[in-house]
Amino acid sequence: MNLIAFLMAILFAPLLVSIIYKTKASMAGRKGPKWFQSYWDLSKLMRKQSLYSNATSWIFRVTPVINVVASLLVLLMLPLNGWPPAIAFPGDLIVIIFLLALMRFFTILAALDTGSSFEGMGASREAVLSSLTEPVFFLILFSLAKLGHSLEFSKALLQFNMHLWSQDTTSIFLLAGAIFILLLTENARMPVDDPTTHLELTMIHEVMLLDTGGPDLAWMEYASSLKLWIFCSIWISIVCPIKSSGWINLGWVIIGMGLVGVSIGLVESSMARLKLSRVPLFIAGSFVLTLFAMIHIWSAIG
Amino acid sequence: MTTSTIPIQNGQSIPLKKIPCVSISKFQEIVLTSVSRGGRICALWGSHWEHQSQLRIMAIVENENNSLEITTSLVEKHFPSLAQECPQIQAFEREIWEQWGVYPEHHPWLKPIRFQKPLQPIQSDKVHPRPAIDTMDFFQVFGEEIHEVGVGPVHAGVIEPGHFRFQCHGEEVIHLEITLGYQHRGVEEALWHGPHARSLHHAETLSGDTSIGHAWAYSQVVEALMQLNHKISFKAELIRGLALELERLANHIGDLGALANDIGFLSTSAFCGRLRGNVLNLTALLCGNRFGRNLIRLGGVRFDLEASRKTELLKKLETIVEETQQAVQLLWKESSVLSRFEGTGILTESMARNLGLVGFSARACGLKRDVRLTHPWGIYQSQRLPISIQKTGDVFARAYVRWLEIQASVRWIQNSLTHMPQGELLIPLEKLQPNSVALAMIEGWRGEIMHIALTDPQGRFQRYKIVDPSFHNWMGLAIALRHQPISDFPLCNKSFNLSYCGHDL
Repeated sequence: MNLIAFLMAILFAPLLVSIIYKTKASMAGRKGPKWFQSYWDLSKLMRKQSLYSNATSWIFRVTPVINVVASLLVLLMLPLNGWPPAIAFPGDLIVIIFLLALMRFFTILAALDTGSSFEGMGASREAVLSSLTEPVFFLILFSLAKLGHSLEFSKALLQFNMHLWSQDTTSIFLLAGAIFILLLTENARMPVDDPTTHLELTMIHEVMLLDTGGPDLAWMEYASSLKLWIFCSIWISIVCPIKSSGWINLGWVIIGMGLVGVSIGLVESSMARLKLSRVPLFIAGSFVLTLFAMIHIWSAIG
Repeated sequence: MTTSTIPIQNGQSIPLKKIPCVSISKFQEIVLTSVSRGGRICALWGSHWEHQSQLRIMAIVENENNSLEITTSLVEKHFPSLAQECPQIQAFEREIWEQWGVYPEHHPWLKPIRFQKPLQPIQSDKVHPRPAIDTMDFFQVFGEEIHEVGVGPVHAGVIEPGHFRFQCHGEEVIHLEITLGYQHRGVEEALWHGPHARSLHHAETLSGDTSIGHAWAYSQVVEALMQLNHKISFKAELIRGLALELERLANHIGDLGALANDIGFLSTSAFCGRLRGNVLNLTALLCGNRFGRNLIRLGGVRFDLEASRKTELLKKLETIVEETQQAVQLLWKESSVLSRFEGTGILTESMARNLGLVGFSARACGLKRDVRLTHPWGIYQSQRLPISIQKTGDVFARAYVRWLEIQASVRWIQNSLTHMPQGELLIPLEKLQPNSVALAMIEGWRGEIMHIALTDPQGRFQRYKIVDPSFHNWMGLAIALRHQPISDFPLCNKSFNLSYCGHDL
C-alpha cells in the first residue's frame, strides 16, 4: 500500500489554507495570520465542548464524522502527482464523485436539521450550486479518464506526462481551467462564496456550520481543508507533466500546491464576489470549457 | 398662510408666543400642502401638555423653495393620521403616540418606534395598549413558498443592535421590516431642564460617529437662544467646519472600505480601513481626540490651530488624499465591483422624495438636499462647497456620491485653511432667552441633523427635540431592499450606514 500521498494530505491540508490567507494578506498590505494558525485553530476547537441544540437529531451529530471519513476515503483513492494512491480499482472515479456528494448531502441535511432560517438558506444555495457542479464534475472526470485511457482514476491521472501533454495540450488546458473554476465553487472560495465574511445572509458554506461548534466544527473545518486538497491534487496531477515517485515528485508537489494556493489567493484578492444570481453563469463557464475539451478529445480520437 | 405659520431660519430663535397655533385640520393641511408641492417634513413632535388635556404638537416643514416654516396645533386624545397620503410622516406620528399617548387614527402600521416609556403619564393608554418589544406583530406575507428570516438584534459583526425581519420568496426579499429601539438611552429626557453641565457631552455621544455634527447642532441651538450666532469668531467657526469635514472624510472613507469588504474586495477594504484611521488622527491632531470630543464648546472651540499644526495637518491630508485616490479608484475600475454596486438597492427620486430622505442617500437619488447649501450656517455662509449629486439611487450612486464628497471636502479644507483668520476662540456666554424656540440644522456626514430647543419662562429647556438623519432614512433602506436578493442586504445596509443610536436617542 502506498500511503505517501495520503499522509501528505492529512498532514498538510490545513497549511494549504494558510498559503491562501498569507497571499490575500500580503496583497492587501497586511501581515496575515501565522503560517500554522489553521492548526492552532483546529487544536483550540478540539479542546472545546460540542453543544447540540434540542432541535437537532443524530444527523447533525453524524455529519462531521461522515465528512471526515468520506474525504479521507477519497484521498486514499487519489494519486499526488507521481505518488500512486493506496486504493485503486476500475470505476473508482464514480465512487469519488459520490463520496463527495455524500459529504454535501449530509452537510445540507445537518443544516436543515437545526431548523435555523440562516442554515436553511445556506442549504438551499448549496443544493442549487451542487446540482450544477456535479454534472460538470462527472464530465470532467470522464474526460480525464478518456484522455488517460483508463477508468481507474489514478491510472488515468498518472498518464498525464510529457507525452500526453504534447499530444493533447488544448484539451488539457481547457480541462485545467474547468477544474480550477470547479475548485473555487466546490470549496466555497471567492468569487462564489466569501469564506472570511461575517455576514450570515451572504454566506453559502459557512452559514451551514453556524450551529456547529467545538470538535465538531474542527472536524468540519478539517474536512473542508481536505476537500480543498483533493481538488488541488487533481489539478496538480493534470497540469504537472513530470511524474516520478521520489524526491523530484516532492519538489513538484510543493511547487504545485504552492502555486495553486497562491493563485486562489490572487483570484480572491483581485476581484469582488459575484452576485449570487450570477454564480450559475460562472459554473456554466466551467461546463463550456469541459464541453470544448470533450469535443476536442473525441474528435481527435474519432 | 401668513397667519398659520411663521418662517424660521437655521440658527434662529423666535419667541414662542409668535408661533401661531392653528386647528389640527389646518395644521395637517399646511404639512400636506408643503409636501405635495415638493417640500418635506423636517421635524414633527409633541411638545408638552398645555392644560393636562391638550398636547401641543409642532412641525417644521421645508417648502420646495427651501424656506422653513414652523407651526403648532393642540390635539387631545387622537388625531387623524396622514401616513396614508404622506408616508414620510409615519415615524413622527408613531413617535408622538409612543411619547404622549395621543393616537393617530387609521395609521397604516402603528407600532412603537423605540419602545420607550411615555414622557408623561398617559391617560389614554388603556384605550390603545402598546405591544411589548417581544410580543409585537410583524408584517407577514403568507404562502407555501414564503419563508421568514429574522436577523438581530445581536449581529455577527461588532455593530449596533437592531432587528430585521425579512419576508422572502426564495432569495428574493418581498418585504423588510426594521425594528429599532434597543439603543434608547433617553438623551432627550436627559436634556430637559438644561442646559446642564453634561448636556454638551450628551450631544457629543448621541451617535458615536457624529460627535462633531451633534455637538455643533447643540451649540448652535444654545447660541441661538443666547443671541450669539453672529458673534462667534470666524476662526472658531472655521475650526468647527474643519472638524465637521474631517468627520465626513473619515466616515466616507471608512464606509467605502466597508462596502468593498462586504463584496469581498480586499485591497480597497484594507487600505480604506487604515486611511480612515489616518483621518481620525488628523482630528486628534486638531483637538487631541480622534472623534473630536471636547473640541466644540458653547461660544466657540476649545483648541486653536496654530500655523505649525496647520501645515502639518495639510501635509498629512495630502498624503491621505493621494492614497485614498489610489484605493478608491480600484473600485470604479474593477468590473466585478461595479456589477455588484450598479442596480442594487435602487430608490427612485420620487420614492426618496415621498419618504423624506436626507443626506447623501437623498443626493444619490438626485435630490438637492444639503443643508450646507440650502441653509448655510457658520463658516458655510462664506466658504461654499459644490453639491454632489447622482441620479441612479443604487448602491453605486450612494458610494460615488461619497467619493465626490470626499474630494469636495478635501478641496474645501485646503481652500479654507489657506488663510487663518485672527479671533477669539471662545466668547463669553449670555443667558438663554426664555419662552423661545430655537432651531439648528447641521449637514453631518449622514445628512441633516436637526436640534430644536424650547425654553420655559426661566430660560431652561422645556423640550429638546433631536432629529438624526437616520430617523428619516431607515424607511429608505427597507424600501430599497424590496425585490432584491437577500444576500445583497448587507451591501445595501452598508451603503446607507444608518445610525441606530441616533434613531433611538
